[in-house]
Amino acid sequence: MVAPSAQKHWPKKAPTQNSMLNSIPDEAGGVGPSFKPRRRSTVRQHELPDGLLIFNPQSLKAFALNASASAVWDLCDGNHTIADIALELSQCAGRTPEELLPDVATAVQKLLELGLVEQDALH
Amino acid sequence: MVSGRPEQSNESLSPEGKGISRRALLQKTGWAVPVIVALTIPQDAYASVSPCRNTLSQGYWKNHPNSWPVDGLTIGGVPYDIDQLIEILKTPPKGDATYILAHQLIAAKLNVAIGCPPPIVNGTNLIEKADELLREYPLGSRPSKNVKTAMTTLAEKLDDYNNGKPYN
Repeated sequence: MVAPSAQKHWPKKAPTQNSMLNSIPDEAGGVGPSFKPRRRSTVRQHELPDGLLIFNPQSLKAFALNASASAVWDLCDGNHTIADIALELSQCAGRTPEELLPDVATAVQKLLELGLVEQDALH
Repeated sequence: MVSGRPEQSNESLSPEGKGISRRALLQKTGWAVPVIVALTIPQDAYASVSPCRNTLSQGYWKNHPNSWPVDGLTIGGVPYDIDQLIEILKTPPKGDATYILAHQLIAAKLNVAIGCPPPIVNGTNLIEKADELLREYPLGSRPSKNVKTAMTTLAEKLDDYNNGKPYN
């Protein structure tokens, strides 16, 4: 799943340097490569064989994440930008960071909308 | 940590170790489009995903602001920070049912925020019902008899929930 608006701005091929990923402009009103997501401290997580179960006690809602979404979730620690996450996951996912970037951004955007992550306070 | 704060599991808040194994799994399976699916959880299943041991009374929350698991709450559609919420909790109702209900609603929301199962009766979440009433009759509006009765009845149920008593 690739956000069409993200495709418009992010290169399909290319730079392998994380600094170059970070230089791509952020989406207006959405999350861009330099966005630093942080898991909300009140959210609970439980291991599933092929992913995670996330429970938000404030909204009383639960969500199942597949392996890729779980890997993104793990790196939403307030230290990694979306570009960092794409870069780190590219090392074990057999894809380039540029290929992963739209998927990672879409996943983080969804987590943000669901109130499961927030923007790092210092960002 | 303030004495008396409810016990919470830290295991689920430190996913880094598991994250490494999950990334190893990703290496095996390869990348797929990230999927996040909303689930419907039966009320009795909340216990299995909840670190809650006991609900806590509005008196506890009023006197232990450092134990609050959130920076603020929305009550009746109005967002408040902790200081404002403590002020509300410290305000004597003096017969105003909106305050009687708000006191219990604040405590109930905090109990849910620490992972306790929400108070649901016949499919109705009492917290949502209280919010609806306070949206219609805002804090300090001193509603008249019928609404006052509805609010105090609901507040009693939330009080029972907050004190760990049956609230059906």
